[in-house]
Amino acid sequence: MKPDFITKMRLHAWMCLFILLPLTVAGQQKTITGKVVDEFGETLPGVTVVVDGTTRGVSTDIDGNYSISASPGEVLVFSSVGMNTQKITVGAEAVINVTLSETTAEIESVVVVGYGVQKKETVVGAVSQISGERLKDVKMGGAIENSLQGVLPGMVVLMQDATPGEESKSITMQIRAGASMGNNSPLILVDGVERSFTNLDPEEISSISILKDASATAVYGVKGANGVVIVNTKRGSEGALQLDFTAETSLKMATRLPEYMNSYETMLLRNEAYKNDGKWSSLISDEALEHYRTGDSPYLYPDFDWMDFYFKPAFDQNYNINARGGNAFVKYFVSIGYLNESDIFDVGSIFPYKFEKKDASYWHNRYTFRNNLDFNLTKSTKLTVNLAGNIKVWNKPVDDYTQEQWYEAVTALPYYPQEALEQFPDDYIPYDQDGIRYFENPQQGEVRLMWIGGMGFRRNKSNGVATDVNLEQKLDFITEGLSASVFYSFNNNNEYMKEYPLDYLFGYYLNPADSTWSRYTNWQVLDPDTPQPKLITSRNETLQSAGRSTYYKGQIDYARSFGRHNVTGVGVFSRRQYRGIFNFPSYEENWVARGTYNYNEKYLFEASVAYTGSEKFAPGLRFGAFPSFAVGWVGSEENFWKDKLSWFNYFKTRFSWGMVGSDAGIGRWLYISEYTNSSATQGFGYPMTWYPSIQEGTIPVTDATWETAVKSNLGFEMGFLQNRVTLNVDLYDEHRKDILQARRSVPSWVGVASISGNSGETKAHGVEVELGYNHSFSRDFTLQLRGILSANESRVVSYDEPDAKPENVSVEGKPVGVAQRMGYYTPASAIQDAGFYQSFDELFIWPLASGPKPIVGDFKYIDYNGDGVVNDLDRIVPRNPYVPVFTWGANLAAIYKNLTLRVDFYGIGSTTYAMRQGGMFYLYPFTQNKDNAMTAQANHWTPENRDAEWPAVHSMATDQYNYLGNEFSIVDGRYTRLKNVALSYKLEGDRLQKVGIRQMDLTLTGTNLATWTPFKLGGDPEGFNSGVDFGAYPMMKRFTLEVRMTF
Amino acid sequence: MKMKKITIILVSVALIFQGCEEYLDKVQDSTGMDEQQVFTDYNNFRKFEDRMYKDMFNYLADYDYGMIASMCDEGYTESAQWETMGVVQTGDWIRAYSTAQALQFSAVWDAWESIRIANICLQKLPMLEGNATQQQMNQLEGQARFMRAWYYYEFLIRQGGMPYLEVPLGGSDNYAMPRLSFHETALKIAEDCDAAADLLPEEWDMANIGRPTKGAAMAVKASALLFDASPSNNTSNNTEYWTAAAEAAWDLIDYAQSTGQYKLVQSGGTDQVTYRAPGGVQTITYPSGFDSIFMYTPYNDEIIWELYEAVNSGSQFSTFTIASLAEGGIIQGYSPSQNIVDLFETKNGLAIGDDPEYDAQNPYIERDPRFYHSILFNRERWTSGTDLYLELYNGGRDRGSGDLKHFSYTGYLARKFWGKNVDLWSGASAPFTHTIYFRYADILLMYAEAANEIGGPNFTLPGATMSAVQAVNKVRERVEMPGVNPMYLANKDTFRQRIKNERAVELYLEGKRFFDLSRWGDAHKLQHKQLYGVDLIENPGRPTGYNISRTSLPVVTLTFEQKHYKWPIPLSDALMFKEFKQNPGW
Repeated sequence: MKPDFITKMRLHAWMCLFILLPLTVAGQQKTITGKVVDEFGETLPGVTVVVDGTTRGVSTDIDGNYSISASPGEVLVFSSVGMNTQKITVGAEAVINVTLSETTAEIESVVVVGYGVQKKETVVGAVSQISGERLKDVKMGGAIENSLQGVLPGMVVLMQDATPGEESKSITMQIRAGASMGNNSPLILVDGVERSFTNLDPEEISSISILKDASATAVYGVKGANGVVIVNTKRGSEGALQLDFTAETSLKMATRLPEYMNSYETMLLRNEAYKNDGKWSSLISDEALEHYRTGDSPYLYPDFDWMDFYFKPAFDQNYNINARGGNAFVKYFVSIGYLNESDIFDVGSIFPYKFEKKDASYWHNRYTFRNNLDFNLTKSTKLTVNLAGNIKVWNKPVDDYTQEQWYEAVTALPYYPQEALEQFPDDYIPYDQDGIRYFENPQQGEVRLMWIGGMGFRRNKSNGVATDVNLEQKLDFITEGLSASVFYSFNNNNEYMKEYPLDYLFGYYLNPADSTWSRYTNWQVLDPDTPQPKLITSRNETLQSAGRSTYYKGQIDYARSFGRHNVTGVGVFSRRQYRGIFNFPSYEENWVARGTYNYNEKYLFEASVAYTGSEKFAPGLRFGAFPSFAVGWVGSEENFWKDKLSWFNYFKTRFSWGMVGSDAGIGRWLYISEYTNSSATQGFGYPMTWYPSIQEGTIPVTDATWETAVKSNLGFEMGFLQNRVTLNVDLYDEHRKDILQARRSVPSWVGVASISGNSGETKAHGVEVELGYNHSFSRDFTLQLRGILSANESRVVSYDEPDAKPENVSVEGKPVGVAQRMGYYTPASAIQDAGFYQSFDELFIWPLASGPKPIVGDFKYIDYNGDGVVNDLDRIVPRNPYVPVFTWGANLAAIYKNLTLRVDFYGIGSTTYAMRQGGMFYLYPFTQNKDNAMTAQANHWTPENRDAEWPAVHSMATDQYNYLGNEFSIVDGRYTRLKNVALSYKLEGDRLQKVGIRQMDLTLTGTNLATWTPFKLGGDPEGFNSGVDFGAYPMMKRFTLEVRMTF
Repeated sequence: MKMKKITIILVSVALIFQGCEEYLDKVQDSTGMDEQQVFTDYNNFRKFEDRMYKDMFNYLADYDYGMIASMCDEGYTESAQWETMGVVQTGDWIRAYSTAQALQFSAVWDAWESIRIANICLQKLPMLEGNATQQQMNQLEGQARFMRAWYYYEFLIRQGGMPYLEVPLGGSDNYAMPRLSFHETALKIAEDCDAAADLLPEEWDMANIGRPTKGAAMAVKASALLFDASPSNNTSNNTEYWTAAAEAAWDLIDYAQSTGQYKLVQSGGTDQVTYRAPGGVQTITYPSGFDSIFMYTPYNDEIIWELYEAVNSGSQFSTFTIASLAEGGIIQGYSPSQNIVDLFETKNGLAIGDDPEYDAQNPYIERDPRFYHSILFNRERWTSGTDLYLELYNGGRDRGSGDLKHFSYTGYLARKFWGKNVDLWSGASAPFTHTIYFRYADILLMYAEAANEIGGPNFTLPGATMSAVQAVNKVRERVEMPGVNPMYLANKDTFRQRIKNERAVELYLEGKRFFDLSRWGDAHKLQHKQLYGVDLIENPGRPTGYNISRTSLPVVTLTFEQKHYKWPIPLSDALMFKEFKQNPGW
């Protein structure tokens, strides 16, 4: 036995040595020559020609010619990047000419699945994948996740806040329906390890796959139920060094901004509001109004467009240089990237502390690095080492509470003349928050102005390191097709913050009585010569967050064909430990097995089981088994099909069923109740002693466990007309049980805040359709069209809701996304209205809500339960969840010679959003330090305008009858967006070659160019909650110029 | 060689694979304690139990300014500042639970958490056996039973009967339980109080003063039974209920008398108020001492059960802040109603309408001393010697008008709980005040009320040594008021009116009146819903320099309908189980 092995070893070693040499082993081999051309007859240089199953291989020369030795019966494999691989069995002939067809970007021959890759033809799970190339087309600044919008069927990406450097913090990703009332975030893996891909440079990414059904995700056991996103980074390939340099600069601005009335219109509306509220003494005089109208006293009766003043276009920059190549021993991919994002608020120019970029503006710098190496240590041993990292620095103002900057910049705008501000020797434009007092106190008429960024700024830093080592050993000597690998990964992320605050708020104050200015702080009015407060630079840098994970894995792979019987098997053992620096580490352990069998790639079978454990649960409840089964049939491989249906070239159907779990968002130690020290309560004794106290922990849920999803999926993949037209349809069904949630039927008399239990149950189903058209009309002109559409529906089956809860306010039977929102501060339910009170009589006919009394022109509320009063029992829950039920995307690519045009549309439908605090900040003029009104609010109810969109105006938001958490504040969030238009031109030729450039691409891209939405107030509908009503940094519209050079 | 490699790999893999459960078998290093640590150690046990005091409601707390006193005819609080106030005044008490500063509503209802703590303690007490003295065990048990009864009492007088939980509910117990009747709940409270009275000390040492005592348990029992016997809750007028109430009150009085544990704080000397009249500054002299019931450190003989943790009103001087005396930083003034002012008898012990000497144009002289202790009237000087006199007349500086919202709406301001000579100018800091739940005078009046219902003014409970009227007179004596005039002692009805009157003036602003009106079934009556002020129009010819008349329109008309006799259960609880019923009308 032993000598045999050694012999074999030596042979392998020898084969390694000869790998680069054309093998000319004697025998029955003969030399075969030929020419490789494309569909249009053009010769193809650089095509790899390999004898299948051997290491014999050559490349075609500049004219597409090749010459190789092969025996009859052996199979020649012709492959080239961007072309469909072709296999030809050698017969008697000596010349084999080959025509290769181009692959389309969407059809990849290999699909990334859990713990491996599968040939596209044999995949039986529901998996969608896009290439890194495609990802780069959409320019999203620092938010790479957002580039996935509308390109992967079944995936929804929502961004709420575009704060430079923090975009990803507000991103919601969801695969399919989101069947959990708890956490619906998918598992994200980068190169097989659970970690974020936010800070990857798009250039580093090779592909992104999403795994949707149980067949694909069951291998992730207790973490797979929400779907899995697998990001794989680029790797080197054998060949000469290829160097890519990309330089990108974007001009960016807010997509849509609200429009405001000018000061005269505002004042007119304000008078109307005060009249409606009977505040006669607060009206502005006709004389003052006349001043506003004519603008003859711009200091006292100013009109100034703050929106125009505060927002300015800004530039982002992005550079990447990467190199790839390799030889028989080592292959490498090295990438270095730099991203710079700047600010669309004109803050920096007015903030007085300008040293070392220390101003209050938003900016973000990111450096990324990656080095992926593959070593062939021996013929059968491969060592993979990945080293990647990023460093980020970003800056933002201190007073950033829900983007107060933005809120203040657009709400409290008291139209102030720039000239007045220019008087200041400091040359700062003061900025108002509480604003113009003549709104509140016309007699005194004082003006208070405060800087934006008037509280200092914060400097954030973060760094991330990821290191992976994988050793793979082929074990063909045990049995052919067997291999084993050991993998270790270490990841570390830290985030730091340092604050540079001002010790108090600071601004200017105008006393219009004598037109003198003074400075003021939040405490007092100061002399104008008072020095500015000092920026406090002595604060320490603090660690904001830290995460360290280690992961190791042992994996055994088996893949072998026995004639037409193809078998694969995977066995995985892995463990992961994750530790946030302030937390006790969490642990997980997985045992995974998967087997596939197919007959001639026609009848496909797959089964997998994961036995995974999470330390979140009580001993004995930590491990669970998650099985899945799938079958597939490639009908178009049947002879009868090939004979009869020449126009129907490809047909595959597949069905899968399985169970997956989710412990996402479930707290740890739920099964333990512990008592902790608590603050002192009541004082007793003389002298008074406050006795310390001990507090009971939460009621333990000893049987807490993961959520279980039973999923099934039926898919069809079809190709028509020589596969120019492709159609993929996936239908799925999910039944999720044991959703851990705070029980809803825990009354006050239990005496605890909440009790958790695995009591939730939901059902979901949906469909994904992907229709493609891809045809090259000539060598010069290719057209690619692709449309995707996903529709998901989910319903709460059980939410542990009390029996006595009225149907209209209970969430059982309603969409999961609606249930999720119940109980937030944001009202998730609303009172219906029946339009406005149109007459005085109606005021007495309609049931009333308590609180402020309505006037004609206010909302008429519907007494849903007919009990004679309008109150919380009359609320209804919204029809649609926030995460849209329906998303679609359309991608068009037209390639004419060297010119490529790409157009992407994206849209979401059937989504509603409850505005922050009942729309207080947005729907009602003159509210909460908001002294202005939007242009659109001109269409409010007046006796002359009864068919208005807005109710009658009032002087206060919360004190009016209209502000009652009604339907008005639950808005239709659907939109359609022209997401991306890219025009690129490819330059190549001798002149460039002379300076060493193989190819140069110039691309002009417009991102988020146009948005269509039913919401009329302005502002961007994406991430509705915080975007449009001033809680967040605005969404960006970009014009990007990209130069890409390949050396 | 190769084989060796494989063996190494396989062995190492096997090593990694073994013991998978152990890998996950980790529990957070924690600062927490388990049950054993908490309940087998006396100090820890007490620390756990002490948390049950956290839901005791402070009527005088900053954020509940005059709330309960503004829900009845005692006076008026402007609603713009406290969202809850407006909601309460318009009668939407369900909504009140979800408003800001809804303390009377939400904070009291939250006391379920403290009931849970008490129940856990009672359940775990056997674990302490052997680790604490019997006395310590008794104190812990007594306090837990008392506090359970106390919180149920707080619910009882608001929402009525409740399921009486005596063990803590577990994570998977059935929570759907019916409510007990008012009477059943009252009896449960009485039972707990009886047990607590046997276990609790008569007096705590100085380090623990303020914890509930035997007397406190007896007082809560007496009050719970009085509520149970009162017309709103005893609709068939079952005399046995009155008897039970009278006995419970007498037990406490008897206990107080025999041990000297509680007595009325007696008058000591005189106080003066000065006011400006056309004839110059006038002085009224009246017996002092009444105010010292409320300002004491650390205790006095009259207090039976209180929220001991003293409230130092600090710069606010008093819960019922007077705006003009404390300029700046004042957000709330409280305006006593004319309705209440008219209840203060004349010095002769007669209702103002019954006393021929009473002059409606000179109404502030010769009144019950408690009037001067409780109310500030127009042109009264009550500062630390400055020459400032209250301008409560119509148009006066301290009278609410126009934008000046934080002044008096009625022509009166509240003085009770305000330390002598404490104001903006004196620089003296406010004295400590306590929220008093029961004091001895209250118990005497409770006894009198129950005894009168059983057998009229002169009825003495068998075994007792005091008749109804004697009990009332004791309370009056303390402020040097004459005994109840015989004209009011004709029968139990006439005397009942005087008892109600006595409670109104004796316990003014002490958080009692609202619940009294409610249990008597009087709260929905117009005279208690419409709050009037006084119009003071300058007229130097009058004794006070002003024409004095009740305002023609009420300052506020409170909403109080039949349903308001029982507070609503918050919707979240009321809508949960069919077994647990909402109070009628809500």
